[in-house]
Amino acid sequence: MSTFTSLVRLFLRLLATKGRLLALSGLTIVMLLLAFITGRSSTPINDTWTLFRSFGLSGIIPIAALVMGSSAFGDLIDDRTLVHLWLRPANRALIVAAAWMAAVLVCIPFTVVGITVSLALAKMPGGAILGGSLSALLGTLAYTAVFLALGLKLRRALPWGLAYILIWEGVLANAGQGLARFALSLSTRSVSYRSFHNAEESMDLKYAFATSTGVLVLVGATVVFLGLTLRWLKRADVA
Amino acid sequence: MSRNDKHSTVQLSAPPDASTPIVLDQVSKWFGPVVAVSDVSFTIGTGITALLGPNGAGKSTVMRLLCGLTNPSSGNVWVYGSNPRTNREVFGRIGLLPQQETVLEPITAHRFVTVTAQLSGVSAPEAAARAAIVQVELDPEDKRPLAAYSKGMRQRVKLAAAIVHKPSLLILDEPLNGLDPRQRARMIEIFHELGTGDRCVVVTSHVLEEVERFGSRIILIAEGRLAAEGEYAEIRSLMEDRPLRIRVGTNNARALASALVGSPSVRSLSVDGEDLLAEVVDIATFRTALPRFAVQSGVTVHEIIPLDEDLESVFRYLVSRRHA
Repeated sequence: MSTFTSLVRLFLRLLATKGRLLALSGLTIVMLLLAFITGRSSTPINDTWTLFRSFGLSGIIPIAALVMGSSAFGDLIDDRTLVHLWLRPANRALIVAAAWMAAVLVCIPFTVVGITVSLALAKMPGGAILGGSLSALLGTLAYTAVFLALGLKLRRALPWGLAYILIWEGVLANAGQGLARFALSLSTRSVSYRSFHNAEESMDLKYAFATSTGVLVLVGATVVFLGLTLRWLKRADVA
Repeated sequence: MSRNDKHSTVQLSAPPDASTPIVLDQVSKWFGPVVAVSDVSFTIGTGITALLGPNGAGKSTVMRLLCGLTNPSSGNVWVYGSNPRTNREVFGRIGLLPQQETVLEPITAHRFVTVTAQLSGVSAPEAAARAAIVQVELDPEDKRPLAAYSKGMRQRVKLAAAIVHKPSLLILDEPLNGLDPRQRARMIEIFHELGTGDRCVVVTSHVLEEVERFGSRIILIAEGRLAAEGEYAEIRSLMEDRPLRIRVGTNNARALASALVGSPSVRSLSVDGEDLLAEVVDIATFRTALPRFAVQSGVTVHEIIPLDEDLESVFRYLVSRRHA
């Protein structure tokens, strides 16, 4: 087994605790139930879009990414075991990539799979399901990178991350076009918006990017925050 | 204090050669207003060296500096001629047994040690992990997670992870914590085995008697400063030669003080209420002389209490002596 695979397995084992999996499973089940109901409403596409946008893209994805991403290094720092991985001559990029990959892998069943199944349950057209799945995947990658960095930098990353999700992504991003551009949720919405809009033209979305811009922003955010994590890990004061 | 070629205070302007395991050159480390390590310089050569000091003396901070886990606020740290903070390759030559009890709890000992071997670039990590676990007398086939291990077993797993890549510098932070007497004896044997040849082993401890069993050279740290350095016997005699403070409970402290003034065994005297506080340079002579002086001055002595028997007072004395 390669060092990278071994590290990913190690991080997976550390991240996939019963409590975390149960909490995220609960949220996913609620989303599936709501999707089942909205699919049977009089305006299924509009209602499912609202559910998908608010509960999926702005809810489950950032929350799952926060729980797993911030814990990948955060747990090791809290229990002072980071030293076992850090004091080795291995490339730090390998450690960062493995931690991020493991966090993403644990999130995917709740975010990408959960959202895809909920869109299917809501009887959305194939294009909307595909667009929704793509935005869920890119959102998971980007948010996990953000919270991986946050977990390395801040001691209490969970409440800080929650404040970021609720205040920044939830409130400020809807407060005006200028601010909205700096919220990842605008990009995740932009990636899937067109696919829903094609099916229901009356649907409206404030401050949407072009799909390609949304993709670029999410990929860019992923790269930038992984780079920051690498830089901070290299310079970390390890206890 | 005598110094030998393997172990001496240094003043450097350039990196030392790559054969010297450890050089600290006027290193200080502070955390906000708290000074953890203050202007410490020493070199450590091959063999076992103990870093001795009371709890909170700065030993663990020195260990972290040696491993590049933190930057010095001022001064330089060199490990085999490299700055461990900037040259990651030197980590391949360092094995650290950290003080904290925690390990990566959900995985097995073999997985834990294998991952650390892989990260160290060991060519056959699984076999190396198995060998290291056997060396610390644990079972590499044990399928229980590390969370189920006792404190002593975890300590040995951490040691296995520290030695799996056969480091030339082994740093052990309070390694005997949590071990029973048999395990302690075995660990000390292992440290002696590891300390042979060209390997450098650094052990921290706050227990002088523990250090004696390592049979090592000693660097004594107190209040973040280098208090003394040398062979065990030298440090021991230095500690025993220091003046001791004695509290003498009496019914007339002033009369007893008058009688003791001029006694060669006493450096200073002060009266504290009903008690006499004496700083004694020769405790044996003082013990003999005190009853005689008490009888001569018609004073009753209730109690004699040594005030400096704890190790921390010894360290304080050595620091004040060095920086006087």
